[in-house]
Amino acid sequence: MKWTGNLAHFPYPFKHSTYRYSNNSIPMKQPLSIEVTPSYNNEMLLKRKLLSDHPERCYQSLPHSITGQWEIVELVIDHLVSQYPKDFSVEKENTSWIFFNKILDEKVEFIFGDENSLSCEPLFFISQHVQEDLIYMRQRDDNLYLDAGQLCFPANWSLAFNIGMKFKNIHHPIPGFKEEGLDQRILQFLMRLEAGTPWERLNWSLMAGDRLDTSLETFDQWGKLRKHVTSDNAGELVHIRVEVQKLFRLPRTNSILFSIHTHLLSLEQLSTNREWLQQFYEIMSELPAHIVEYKGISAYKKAVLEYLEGQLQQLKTL
Amino acid sequence: MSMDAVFIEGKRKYIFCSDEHGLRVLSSVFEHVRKEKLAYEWYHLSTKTRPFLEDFLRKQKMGTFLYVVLPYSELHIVQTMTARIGFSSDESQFIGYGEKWISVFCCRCHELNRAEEQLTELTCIQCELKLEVSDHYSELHHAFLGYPATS
Amino acid sequence: MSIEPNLFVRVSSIEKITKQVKKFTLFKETGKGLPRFSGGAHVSTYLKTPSGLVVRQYSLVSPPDDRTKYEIAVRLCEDSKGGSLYWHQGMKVGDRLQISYPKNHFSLSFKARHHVFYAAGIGITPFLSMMQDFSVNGQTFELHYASKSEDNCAFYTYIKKHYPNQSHFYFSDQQQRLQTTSLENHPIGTHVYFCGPEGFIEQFTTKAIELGYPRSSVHSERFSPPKPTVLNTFQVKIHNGATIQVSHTETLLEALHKNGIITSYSCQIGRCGTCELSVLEGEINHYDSFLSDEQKGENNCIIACVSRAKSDKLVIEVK
Repeated sequence: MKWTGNLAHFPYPFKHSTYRYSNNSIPMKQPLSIEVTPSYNNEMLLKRKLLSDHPERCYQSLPHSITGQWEIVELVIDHLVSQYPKDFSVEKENTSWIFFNKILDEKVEFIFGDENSLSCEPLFFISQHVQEDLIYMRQRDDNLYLDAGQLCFPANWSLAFNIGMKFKNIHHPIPGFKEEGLDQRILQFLMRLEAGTPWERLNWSLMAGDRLDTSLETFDQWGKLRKHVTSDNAGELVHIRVEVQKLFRLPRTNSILFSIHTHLLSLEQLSTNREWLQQFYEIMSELPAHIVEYKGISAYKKAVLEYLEGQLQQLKTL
Repeated sequence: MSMDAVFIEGKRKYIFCSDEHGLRVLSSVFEHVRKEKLAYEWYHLSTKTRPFLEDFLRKQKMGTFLYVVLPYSELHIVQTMTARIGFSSDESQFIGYGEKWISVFCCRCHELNRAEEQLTELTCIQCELKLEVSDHYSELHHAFLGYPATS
Repeated sequence: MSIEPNLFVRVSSIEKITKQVKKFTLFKETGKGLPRFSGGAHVSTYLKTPSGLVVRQYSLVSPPDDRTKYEIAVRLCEDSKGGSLYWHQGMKVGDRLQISYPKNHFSLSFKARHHVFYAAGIGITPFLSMMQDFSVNGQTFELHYASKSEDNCAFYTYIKKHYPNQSHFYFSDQQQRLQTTSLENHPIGTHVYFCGPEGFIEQFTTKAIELGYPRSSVHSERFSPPKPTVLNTFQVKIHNGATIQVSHTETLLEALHKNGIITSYSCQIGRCGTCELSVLEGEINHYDSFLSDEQKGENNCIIACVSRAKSDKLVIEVK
């Protein structure tokens, strides 16, 4: 599902001509945890199918996460209704709520805070209405734990395995992340997030194909495309995958909501922007082996560089 | 889980909980505790005393440090029990011995596969995917993650 | 410098609950309700006093799920530097003010089996929402509350009514003393929480550690210092490089960039740690909310977007 909108709006992730892991969070100008884009209908269809066909892979939660889940429902509905009033609305009479999704022509009635009034868990319910993946990190005993999550479009990780895990441990497989105490600093930063001041950051990787569902569980389905990349097809086949992550402090449970909105852009499209083409080529050329390896680019890095070189050459001859 | 017992100072009472074999493992820490005239208590673990371990531990007060030495096959259950009672990782040490088996979480079907500690590759008993055993560990699953083998 | 987003509230009632303590009820005039908060949370209140802006933190004592109002209890300090004095003598029903969103640095431990709260004087305030917020999953709690007398004991009636079995009171006018020996008999899995005057917290914390409590089982509530209003001029020497001047109207980060020394940064409000630089010489006034107390004490790094030199000069390293 590739980017179909205006290229200028694509969340281009790079600032410099080299890339390293860092805390690249910035305060959000507009506090919105979600964004409705032109691909809403397609993505909601895909998401709901995944949630229905593979619930254990796409949804996990620990029993004590319910209060936090309700907080997320309240926050997300608030954002949907205030930012997209033509598409979403809510009627509240004390704790009796009616939520309207006018894009999908749906109505959900429930009692806020009462699990039994919904046919599923609160987080599962609200996930059905937003394109983002929603992760609930509970702050408890001076650490952050992944206590609930709805994850349909992971970049090669398993929610089922990571459920209940501490922040640093979740990031254990990332080579170079522990260097100079970066993981500790990011954990400290997250634990000091305050209500009213949400942050956002961009995460990126490269992939062969344009499949959104690249879970660890289905690696054998999408991973093999990496072997099919050539400098001829790289433009169409290889995509830059950007996650727009938004971080909100949830004050009732003193926890954090991570919303992740994944966007894909083909190298071909990226190359139409001169600056991006040049910068991305420099980044890819310089990228340290451990990052190349972790992001799964090793098998086709050469083909990508050849493709980008080709594109740059073409520009010079114009 | 450590290989040797390490003395932790500043506690009001030290509890040594082990079977016959464990006595040797704990001997140097115990000697230190005795020499310093610190308060301690031994709980000799046997099939007869095992059912009363939980009650015994529940009676302990803040400021207690617990050492447990058991075969690996029994250690994890006791560890879970002590955590439930309230012994944190700052208040306890667990030392295992003997055969150590690990669990490997299949990345594709989530099945837990039993394997010997040193194993680096195995085939999932449920979905038959060839797995590479990683060092990514989950406390909740008490298992290591098995990635699709790269071959 | 960017200002943190605030909530705009109005005082709807003022109640004198003891000779020295007043309870203030605040409501939000417009828009959505007030944010819910977790037990132990507090807000910063921004007071426009005759002598200038004063920022003070107070625990929220209202029910955590009540989005219509916040309540705080303020004790008039004998040597008030303006905060509690303004609240008691300057604040009237109908007055408007800005407060921060709720923050929490004093929350209940999730894994504790038993919680013991120790309060002295107005230190009772964070425990009110914590006791209300108690999720019953086998966990238990007790409260030990020391006060000069029953009359001076804020929320005495309320606590006795709602938590009769868990609360214990110690009135000095009746020769009842809350002793640190109280810490000796708590069962394994207990977490202890202290709130009150600095000396009280020190005394109990020291005793708990002496008795062998792990550090992570001991919690205390202190409010973060207010943002600085004094900005000084100082010199900064870059190791193996130039010396620059940081004027009182700019941050270290701004001065570096002005002089062509481009260092990393992200949030610019002292929160994310990206602009941290090594300090080789000189003393630092830390104004950030990123470094731990320990890291600040080591005096070898500085968060360039908000912190400043205490001494006249700093020597820093820029990679």
